[in-house]
Amino acid sequence: MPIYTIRHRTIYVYAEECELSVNQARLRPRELPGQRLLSFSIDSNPRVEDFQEEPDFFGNPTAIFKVAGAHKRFEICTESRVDVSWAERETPPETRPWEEAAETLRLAATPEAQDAIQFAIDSPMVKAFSELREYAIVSFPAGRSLGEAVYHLMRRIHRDFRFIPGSTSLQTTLEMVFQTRCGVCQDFSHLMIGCLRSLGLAGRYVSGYIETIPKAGKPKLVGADATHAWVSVFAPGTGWLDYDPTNLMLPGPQHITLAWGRDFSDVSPLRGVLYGGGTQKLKVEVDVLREDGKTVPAEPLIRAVK
Amino acid sequence: MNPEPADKQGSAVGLLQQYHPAPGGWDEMMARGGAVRGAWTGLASTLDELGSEDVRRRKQALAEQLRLNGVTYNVYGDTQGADRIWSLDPIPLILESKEWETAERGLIQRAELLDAILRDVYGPRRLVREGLLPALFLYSHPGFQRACSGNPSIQQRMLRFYSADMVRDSDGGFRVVSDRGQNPSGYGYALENRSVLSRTLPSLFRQSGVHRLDGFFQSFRKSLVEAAPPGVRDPFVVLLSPGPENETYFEQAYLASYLGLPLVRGSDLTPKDGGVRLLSLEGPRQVDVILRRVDDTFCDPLELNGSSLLGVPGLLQAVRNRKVTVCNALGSGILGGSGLMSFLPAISKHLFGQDLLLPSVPTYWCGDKSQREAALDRFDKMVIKPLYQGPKRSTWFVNKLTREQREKLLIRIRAKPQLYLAQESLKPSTAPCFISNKLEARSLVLRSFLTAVGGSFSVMPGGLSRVASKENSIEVTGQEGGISKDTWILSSEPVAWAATPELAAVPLRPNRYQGPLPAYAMENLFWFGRYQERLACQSRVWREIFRQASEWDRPRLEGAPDWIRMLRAYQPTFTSPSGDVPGLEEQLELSLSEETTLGSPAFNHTALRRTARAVRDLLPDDCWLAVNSLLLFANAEAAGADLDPENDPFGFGPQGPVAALIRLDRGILHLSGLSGLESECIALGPVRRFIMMGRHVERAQATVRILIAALGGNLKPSDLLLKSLLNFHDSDLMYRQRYQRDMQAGAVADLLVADELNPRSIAFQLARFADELAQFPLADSVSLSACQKTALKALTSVRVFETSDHGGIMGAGGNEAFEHLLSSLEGWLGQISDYLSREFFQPIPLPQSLREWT
Repeated sequence: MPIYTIRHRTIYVYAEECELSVNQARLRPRELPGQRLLSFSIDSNPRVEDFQEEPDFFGNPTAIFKVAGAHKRFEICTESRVDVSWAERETPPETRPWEEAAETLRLAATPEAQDAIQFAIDSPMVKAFSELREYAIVSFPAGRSLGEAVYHLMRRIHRDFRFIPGSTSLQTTLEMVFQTRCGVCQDFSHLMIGCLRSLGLAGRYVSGYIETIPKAGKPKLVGADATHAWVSVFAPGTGWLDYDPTNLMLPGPQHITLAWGRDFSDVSPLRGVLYGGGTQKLKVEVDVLREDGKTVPAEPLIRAVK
Repeated sequence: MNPEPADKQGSAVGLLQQYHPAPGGWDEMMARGGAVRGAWTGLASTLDELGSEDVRRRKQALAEQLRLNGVTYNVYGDTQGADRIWSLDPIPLILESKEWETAERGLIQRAELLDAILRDVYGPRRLVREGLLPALFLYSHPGFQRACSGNPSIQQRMLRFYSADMVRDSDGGFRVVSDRGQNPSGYGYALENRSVLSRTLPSLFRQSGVHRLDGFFQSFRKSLVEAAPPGVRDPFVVLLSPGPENETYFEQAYLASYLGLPLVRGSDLTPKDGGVRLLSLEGPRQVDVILRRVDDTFCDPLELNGSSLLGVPGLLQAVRNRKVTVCNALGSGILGGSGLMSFLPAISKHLFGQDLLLPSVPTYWCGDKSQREAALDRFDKMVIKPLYQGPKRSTWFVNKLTREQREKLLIRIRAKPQLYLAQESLKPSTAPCFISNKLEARSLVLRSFLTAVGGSFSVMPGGLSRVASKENSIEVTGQEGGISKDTWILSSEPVAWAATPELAAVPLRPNRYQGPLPAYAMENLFWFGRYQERLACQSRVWREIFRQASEWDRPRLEGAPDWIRMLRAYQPTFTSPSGDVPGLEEQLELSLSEETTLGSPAFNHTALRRTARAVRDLLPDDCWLAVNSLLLFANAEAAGADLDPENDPFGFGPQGPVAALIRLDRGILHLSGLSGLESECIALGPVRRFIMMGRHVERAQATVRILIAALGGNLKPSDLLLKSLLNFHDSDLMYRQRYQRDMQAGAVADLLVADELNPRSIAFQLARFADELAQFPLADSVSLSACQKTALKALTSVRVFETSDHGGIMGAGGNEAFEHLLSSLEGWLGQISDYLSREFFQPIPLPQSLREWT
């Protein structure tokens, strides 16, 4: 089972002095059946104050802290060691027909279905529109198993939409992505979630890291520069199934989950409010290193939170 | 609910005789068959005694009172939205104590129920698990704030202030149309309505035994104390306002001053040590309880809505830390509107084992198939509302829509049914309103108010009634054209003044501290002072022109160009008139009414009112009254009314030079009155100091500018101009006392610039300003602040200027040193204002969102 060390560094440079900032971070990987967090540390310059960490509504570890005192540069680094034990998957698991999943959500009789409903309706960044359903329904003929239909949809999105780094921003709407047929992993995920929801299915946005070292004969995976995003779909009786439309694959041992929510707005890795600061420049670096047994893990950083 | 048959049926003459409520409905005053209901007999006979002419006069007096009290209601998206005068009908709504008690019980039960729901949906969500509240409903509701889930406020009351809009059905039973759960408004308007109406119908009010409202407001205050975080016994409470542009700003300021709470904006509060502190002149202070008038989503830009600057970043975390309590609890927006109504009866049974005592108007949530079908079956009879009312407040009365609009609405509902509600359009009861000198029956909605206190809820014995803006309409809104009514609950026992046991029990110690002054208030006080002075100076310039104009009587206006330059010093947009008297008059008329022209008197008047409104809670009532009685410029219509025949015995009307002079004189007088009131009524301390500092800076600047303009081009000043300069500065008498001879420019300049005994001189302003500024404690007690240094530099420059040397300056060829002094002064005065802003008004830079990456 691979063990990863993930170093995630974010640097802000402000044009003017920032007197105080209040921030919220979702940078600690979740604990999951197939994902164990061995250690986690967070370090920053200037030092953060009033650091508090608690799970949010969706159970994602969420930290709130302040940076006080005039500063023009803020750097925050995390280091996570994660043991990922998911099996590799080539094909989706056997599931019931997709219409049954939609019906289960409609009836909302079980706690799981009641919870999943919030991922089947509009959310701040994913609002359904009619063309989305027309596009999606092609992959969902009557009676097709849910897992298979979603895989089909993923394949079409991967084929029909082009991955172009920097082609979109947080202001780009789903409609614009749909029209221009290009975007980044966030857009691919939002698009696929929108398609699922247009059919009454529950789709959830997952943020995390990906190991980009290609396997022999396969192209290099995309998502190295920052956090990655993919999609999870609710399959009643089975649970949540992950799909990565950007890389056309079923997430397995190379995907490390940070957080999930209805869309990006629920899981943004770092947000904040600054007093002052003026124009901001931002740099993000993510390294995902697989430990081969020889690599000695880096010195724990000063502020160990776990 | 069963009022006794009236015993005065026969006496319905005059006003009452003309009153014909629609048959079949419930009328508040008149039972079916035309008998006056028991509670209304006193009012009915009063109306008969008074007759329509007297009632008209009282209504007029009442409207004048509201105007003077500055009771306003702003309408969003309306360019003239600010300053809409509140409208109050002279006839109250009257209810018997017996029927009120029934409503009261229902309201208390409903408040308890809504509080329980709130604590469940942000806590264990059992209502969802047990099928009483559909998951789809909760998760679709824009008022459901996930970030508020699981915070410790669910262990205490989350709903402290609740209000309900009620109507009566045709059998006279009360039903709730709309619940208000997050920051209900109207408490202050109800109070103001009562204070004005009890003076409009004083003897009827005295004789009727009307329940007083003050006891309720003691509960209100107590509730805020009870809301204190654990371990805090004497909480520091503030009222968080979105600012003067908000529609109900009037009552926010009114409540703040009535309850003695600092009125603050989000920018005055910052996160600190896990809690929230108020930045004020006196230094930061930990806030314990926030009574907020800001909606959930705007309260915390970090966790609730990144784009809003109205709130406090980190507020929600401070609530989680139990360092501060927000009332009502963050997330309570989910209670608002009519969304929960279809679920309340079952939830009441489930949680309390009780039927709902106070039913809702039948309401259907379209997200539920059977409810939706029931609603669409009788679509024509429905009012469609969004699940969550945003600021746009969309409501569709289906029977008023065209076929096409109906189809469109149906498509929208079917596409996202969970976002819509259908409510049966009920014909509310009617009540008599005095409109166009007679009684008209208008549909009525009653808003009642509750506050949580001592483990239960206390209901205001009264409320805010509003009636439809049109006859035969069932639409009642608080928006444009809405008319309100005072609400009288008649007591079965003699009404006593509310006792104040808990306040009397604690012996008070002497206190001379006025409370913290937030940066926002300091800035507005300073500008409040400046605008008063600016308006006064400007009026003096205009008055000077007209005084001279009446003497001119010649085709060429001697001296006029000088004054036009001076006017421009104030009003850069001012264009030269044709040079004759009628041309000037026309210009004046325009300047007096054009609120949008930068620097015009009307513009400055509006700015004065705006700053006054922003610090309403800090001004003594008489000052506020004086601000509102200043009808000089803006609000031309009202200004015209002011010169109606009764007030304008010479019949000049609002136009013409004489009338203009009267208006200017009156305006200057009013402004002096305001200035006097400030000196008389405002306690010594920072509030007064900032107003005074504003006045001094403005007055010094006015003189500098006027002198620069008068000396422009080194013209030899005429005697007329020198005389005008003295007049303008109210210094002509002083001049005669000092010199007893002809006009000399140097002597005039000395009197206006350097003579510190002249309260209009520049030196006087600077000396006073420096004195005031020196009263503030400095962070660094050794060195002077930049503002102090500049003020002293300016003052010293004036003091050391050799006045005797400029005897000839304004005469032959000008005096460079003097002009240099004036232009230096102008620069320093600008700097003083900037430094004040940096040192006091903007203690921290404005917040912005951190850039996010994906």
